[in-house]
Amino acid sequence: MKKDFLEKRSNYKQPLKVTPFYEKFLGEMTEGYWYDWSGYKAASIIQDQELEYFAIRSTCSVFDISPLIKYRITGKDTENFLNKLTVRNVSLQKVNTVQYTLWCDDSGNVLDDGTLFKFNAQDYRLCCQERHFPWLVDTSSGFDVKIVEESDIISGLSIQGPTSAAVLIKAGYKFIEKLKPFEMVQTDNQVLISRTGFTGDLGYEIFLPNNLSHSIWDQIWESGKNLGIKAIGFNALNIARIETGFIVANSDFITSEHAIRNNRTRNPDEIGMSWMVDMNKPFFNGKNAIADIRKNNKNRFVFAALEVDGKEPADGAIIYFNKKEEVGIVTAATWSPTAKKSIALASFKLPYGHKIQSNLWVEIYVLRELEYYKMMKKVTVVKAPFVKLKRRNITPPENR
Amino acid sequence: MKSYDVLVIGAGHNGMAASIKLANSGRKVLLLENSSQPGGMASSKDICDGFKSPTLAHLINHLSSRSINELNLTKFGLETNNFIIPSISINSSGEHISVFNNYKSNSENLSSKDKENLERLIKRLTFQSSLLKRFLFDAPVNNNNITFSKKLKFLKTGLDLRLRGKEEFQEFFRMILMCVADVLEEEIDNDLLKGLLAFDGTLGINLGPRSPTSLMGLLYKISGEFNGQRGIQVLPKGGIKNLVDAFYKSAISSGVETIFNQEVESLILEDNKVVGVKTKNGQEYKANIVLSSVSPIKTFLKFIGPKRLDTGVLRELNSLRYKGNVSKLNLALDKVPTSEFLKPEQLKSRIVYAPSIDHIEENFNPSKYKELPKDPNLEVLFPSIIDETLSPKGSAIASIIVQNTPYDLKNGWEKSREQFCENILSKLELIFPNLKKSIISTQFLSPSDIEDQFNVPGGHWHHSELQIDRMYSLRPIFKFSNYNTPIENLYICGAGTHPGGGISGISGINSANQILLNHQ
Repeated sequence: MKKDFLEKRSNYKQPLKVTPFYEKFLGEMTEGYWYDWSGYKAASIIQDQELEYFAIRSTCSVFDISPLIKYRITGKDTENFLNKLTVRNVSLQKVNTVQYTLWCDDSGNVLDDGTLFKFNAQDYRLCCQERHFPWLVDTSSGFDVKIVEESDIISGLSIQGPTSAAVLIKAGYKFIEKLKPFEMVQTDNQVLISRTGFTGDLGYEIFLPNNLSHSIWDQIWESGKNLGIKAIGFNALNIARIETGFIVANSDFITSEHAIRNNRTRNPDEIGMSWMVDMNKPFFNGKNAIADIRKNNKNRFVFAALEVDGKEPADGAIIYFNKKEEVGIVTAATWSPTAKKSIALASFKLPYGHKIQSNLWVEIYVLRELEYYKMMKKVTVVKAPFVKLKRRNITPPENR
Repeated sequence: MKSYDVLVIGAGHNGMAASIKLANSGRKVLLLENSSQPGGMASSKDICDGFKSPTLAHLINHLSSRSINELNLTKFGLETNNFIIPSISINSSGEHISVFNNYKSNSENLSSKDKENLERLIKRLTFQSSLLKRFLFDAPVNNNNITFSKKLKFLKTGLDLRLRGKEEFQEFFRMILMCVADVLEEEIDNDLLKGLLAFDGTLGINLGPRSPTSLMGLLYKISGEFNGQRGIQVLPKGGIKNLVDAFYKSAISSGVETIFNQEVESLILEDNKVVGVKTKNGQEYKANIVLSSVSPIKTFLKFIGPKRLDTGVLRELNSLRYKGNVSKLNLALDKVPTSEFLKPEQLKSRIVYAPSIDHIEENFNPSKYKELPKDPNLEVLFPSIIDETLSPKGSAIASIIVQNTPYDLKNGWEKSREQFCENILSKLELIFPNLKKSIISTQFLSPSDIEDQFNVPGGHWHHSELQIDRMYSLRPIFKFSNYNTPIENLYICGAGTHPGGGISGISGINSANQILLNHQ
């Protein structure tokens, strides 16, 4: 028993686990930039960040999403359970679709966001950043559901870019051309393909049992050869997701289980997710707290998309009102190659960023040959996304 | 359908206390009780014809004059001169000591040094408990309930403690989290006296005399009073039943409508607001406010249900410890018991069999592992010797509390019950010969029987453990300690809320005050 346990957890010898696609990505790797994603060795850059970004926007990119935390939730009460867990109304979700969602603690602060895949009313998969097994199990008290963590047995690839549909069709998945955004199909051999992604572009995500990972990689890689397929790391994806205005847990907001300091937690309203919260549901975790916050105007922060003057990215910059008063922080920023602008996502202390949107500045420090240039750049609050692509929503997709 | 201002669930004494207060303020109150009579765990039932045995609680020591006045109990039949019961601590060879009001003793079996030290110790504990006692009639402080006057009260209490002198100030903080055994061993030599005090400190909670914080139990006991007389224990004239009747009559005359034999199954909710209750037989009752005096476990996990509770709250509720460890043995005797060690007059005492601290601790040990003690500690009362109206002439009732009997026994209560009762009776036989022969009826209630009969999950005296981590603001949990709940217009009271168990009526009064404050 003890030996089994140690072998199963042998990562104490090797700090990071590797995904089933590790060797495949390693084969493409020239840079050696890795980072820790949920205990897995994941790539930041495979060859070249810019080229990888342009694969997303111009051809076809392949990103390893195996480290995502995945839970399979089945049983008679699954729908009711998920309606208690998450803030959205799960009953409105259609079979074979994917719903972006989030869930809160008792105080209405966000525990995590994720995607919910509906196979049928009694069978869902929940994908997210953080591990939540105890929270899910405790929430399920009184519901007839079974919760299984699938993180280590299901791997995944995200295929994104204008030619991604063509690549998949060539690889034999002709049926994907019928998929509208947020729809999904499961094949006979348990391969799940959904028209989803983190790029705001045409794209698909594939979830598959680990044992199929190599054959399916080969299939896709082979089909993509003349369609500009490229393995990418997180840095390129990050640019694309900022352009689309997507947020990342523990980067754009601190999840409530991670936050050590009281005022670091955020409720859905404070990260721009008010639209998700369905107050017409009879009950969900945090509903009472959110109702109270809204009734008594207790929101402290607002999340906003910004355009920054000039071309320097404003990562981590402090935002000032009237160049003096600190009123917020940039949580993510980049030079957008598609919008050709310096763009940012930011968290403001209210009323700044909401009622007061003018006279806002960021302080950017740029290091050039051992000398810092300090700049005050004007920012404009805009509506995300910064980049809106028609091809994302057209069904059947172009470039088949 | 009739609609009420307030619907109170459970006609235990706290449910009745709250109903009286609310009805007296002009509210239309409906009181629903699942059994056929009022009183809850303080109710009495004849164990056989003419033997009015107190089913569980048999003595009163927490009924303050404030409760008596606010609930008009004297007007409705509570006598003013009741039986004040001294205590005797005895061992199996018949050696004994006796104490009366607030542990004063003139027992000849105690050395003068012990008497002196006892007096000093009790004086100190009385002072300490008097500080805690100030907060009994307050809705505890929590995030929803903090006012300047409450802060001031804390400050003033701290100041009063400090002004009492450096020694008392230091002693308070040194002692407050100690175990009762260590405190007693510092001061007292006599084993019987230490046994008695340690028994009183640990009865009703899952702690042994050597468990840290067990002094708290003794402080709680010492904080008790009856109608202004501190530290006394009382058997009301006419038995506990008389007190319960006084509560009930007061409720009826205040205009409380009572329905018996109606077991509440769930609450009727509209969005996040309670609008009534539904009973097991499908009956629905509507009310603007619902006050539940039953165990918090039952209120939250059964009436509301885990599906309607935030997960964080659910986690806290699931961590409540609510398994009781006290059993009750009621006997109907056809002869008045006698003892060669005790004078007939002394049989009018509360007779405690807890010969030493170690004896209690040794009995506590197996209870941790869900086993029964070999030689259990007992509190024996003969109510009918004290008040002859309680049983037919020439006969007697014995009401015996048995400590350290786990709720979830490893071997199951069905298998162990008979042998265990036999052990207790053989032990009593050493002190009261011929007692066994004179038994005409026996009633034994294990915690699990108490759970079934009184609808209290775990069969716990205090509904949930009354230890320092679950007192005042933390009772039953921090969020709901001011008698509110996550459901709008739903309130709680009863032993599971501040200040805890014992027949005091305080949580009923406090919760009613809280309702009146919020719904003027």
